[in-house]
Amino acid sequence: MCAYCLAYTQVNKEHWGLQKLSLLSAKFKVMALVKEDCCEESHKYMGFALHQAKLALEALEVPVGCVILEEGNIIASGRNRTNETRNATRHAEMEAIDELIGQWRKDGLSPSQVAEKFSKCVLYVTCEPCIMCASALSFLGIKEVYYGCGNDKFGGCGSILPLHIGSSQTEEGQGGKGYKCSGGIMAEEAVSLFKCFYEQGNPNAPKPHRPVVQREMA
Amino acid sequence: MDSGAWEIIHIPNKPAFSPEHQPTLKVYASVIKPKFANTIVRQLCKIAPLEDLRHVKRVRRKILPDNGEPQLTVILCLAPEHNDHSKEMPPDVQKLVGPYELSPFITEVCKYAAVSKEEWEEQCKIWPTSFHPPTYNIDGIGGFSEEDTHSICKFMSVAINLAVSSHKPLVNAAVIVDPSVKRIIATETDQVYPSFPCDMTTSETIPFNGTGESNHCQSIDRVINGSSEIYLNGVLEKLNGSSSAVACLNPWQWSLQPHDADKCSQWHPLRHASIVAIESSAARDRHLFPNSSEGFSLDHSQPSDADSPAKKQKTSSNSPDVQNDSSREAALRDASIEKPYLCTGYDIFLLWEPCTMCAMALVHQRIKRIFYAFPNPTAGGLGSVHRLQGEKSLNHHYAVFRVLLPGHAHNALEEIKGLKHVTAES
Repeated sequence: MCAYCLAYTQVNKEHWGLQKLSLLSAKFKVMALVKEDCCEESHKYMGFALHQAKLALEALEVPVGCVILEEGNIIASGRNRTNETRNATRHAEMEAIDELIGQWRKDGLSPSQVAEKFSKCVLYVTCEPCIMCASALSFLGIKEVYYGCGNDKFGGCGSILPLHIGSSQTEEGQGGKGYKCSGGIMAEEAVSLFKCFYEQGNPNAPKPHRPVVQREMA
Repeated sequence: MDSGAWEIIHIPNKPAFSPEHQPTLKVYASVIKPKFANTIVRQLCKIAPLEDLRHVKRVRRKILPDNGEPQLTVILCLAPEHNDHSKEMPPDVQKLVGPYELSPFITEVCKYAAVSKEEWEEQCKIWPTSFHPPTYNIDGIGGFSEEDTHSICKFMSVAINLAVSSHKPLVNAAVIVDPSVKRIIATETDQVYPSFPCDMTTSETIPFNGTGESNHCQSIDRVINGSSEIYLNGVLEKLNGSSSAVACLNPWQWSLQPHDADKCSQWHPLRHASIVAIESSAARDRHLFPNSSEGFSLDHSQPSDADSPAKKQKTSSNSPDVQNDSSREAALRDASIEKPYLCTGYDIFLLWEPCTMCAMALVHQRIKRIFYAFPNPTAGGLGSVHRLQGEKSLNHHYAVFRVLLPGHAHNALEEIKGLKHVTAES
């Protein structure tokens, strides 16, 4: 565990205060930090995922972003587009996955070659994948997932269902593939983006609990 | 059971137990003196509330057979599930034992609220509970009218027809319906394998024009006009064929498909029928109501005015610059077409129980009711492997029904036993 992580969390906890986060704590809980040797590297990649999340926020979308890596290189990125598409399944992960599959299909890769590719891919996403995305990642056979804050309403990597573990039904080879999954990377940053989003209000919710306020442009 | 009839069964949000074998929890209880009853119950509600056992009555009143006197027994608090003597009652509860002359013992109560009168009667043999017949505002849980049953069967026929007729290997099919006007919103099949012809109109972009709409209507009319039984007889035989290409049944098997680069390149491991149908209905929404949110999201530098979102939507859907499209104009004229919020209020008909990915996608898209014909023992998300309709933390819950096809006893697919039948076969 690097000292930077610890110091960072403590500073942020004081900065935000528990009460300020109470709005979010029910929905996106801040995970304990992962013990990572390569903390710096995971922060670098999560930084790119957070950048995607900020793009989502600017577009008045729920701020979740992700990047997919192959051998240390970012080969796809995605952000939430559920409001724009009016399709609530267009999560950041789905956007990035579709980008990859589209490209690989265009390159003439066969399904088995695409599966081979996914088995070497690592995903960084700012919030724990939901049950839908966690299942999808298992179907694709992704190698590894790193996420920021946990999601105790929809989380599919342990919070609600442990879909990253894969299924135990292995007879006839039908069993689901599991993948390595670690949470808590730069969770505070991910949560603070959600906080911004819920403060500004969701213009697409059917009956907003809070009025939509005009965004202050940075 | 008449194998020639359709039947609709509710798949509840908890596993089905026979009334005699319902799960129980251990609790500490004690006989109390009637004069202490009010005080004790008031204190217990404060120090040991039974949060998840609201259906359980705190006090049991029994007439003793020998002297005809009433005896009151009260639940003190939850007891450890295993015989672990290190865990005693909480100190606050312990304090009541002396003053009120309690003699705590461990007994059992039913863990879940009863969903039927039969369950309730069995529960009360263990410890009294309260029973509230379902008052959900989701139609169908309490039973379907003849008319509803009829239209459910028809829409399921559309899904079956779609699954067997348009594809060589059997696939799953999804039909999204607005039940308030019995209008089909989207019809799609799995697009995991490139087994369908490339020029099929239902791939990726669907033309939402007047003809597309009327085609859908024709397909319903055809089913409704023909005798559904005759219509299905030939189809059901095909359902006995291999189901290995059904995406939700074998979601990890997509990479094993043979690849022909010259053929259609539209395969996609995650394009299960439900996912494609959701995309299709979202595309329809964007097409019919083009201005309601996109301008908002895309052009964020434009100051948002003080209008409430509801007012804004109303204004934009009446805007006169929407032209050149008959169905869009029709939508604007037709008061029955309201701007949907995702798939709120819509039903989806599927041949197979959706996998967990699709089941969660349907939560996200706010589907109201799911109807499927066959269970999915490998990956099903609605009772077979997981049960999303019973996951309390989710922000939306749909009602789930299985539609048993006529003659279902003859096909080799697995049968669910012990489920509550909500449609009277009258």
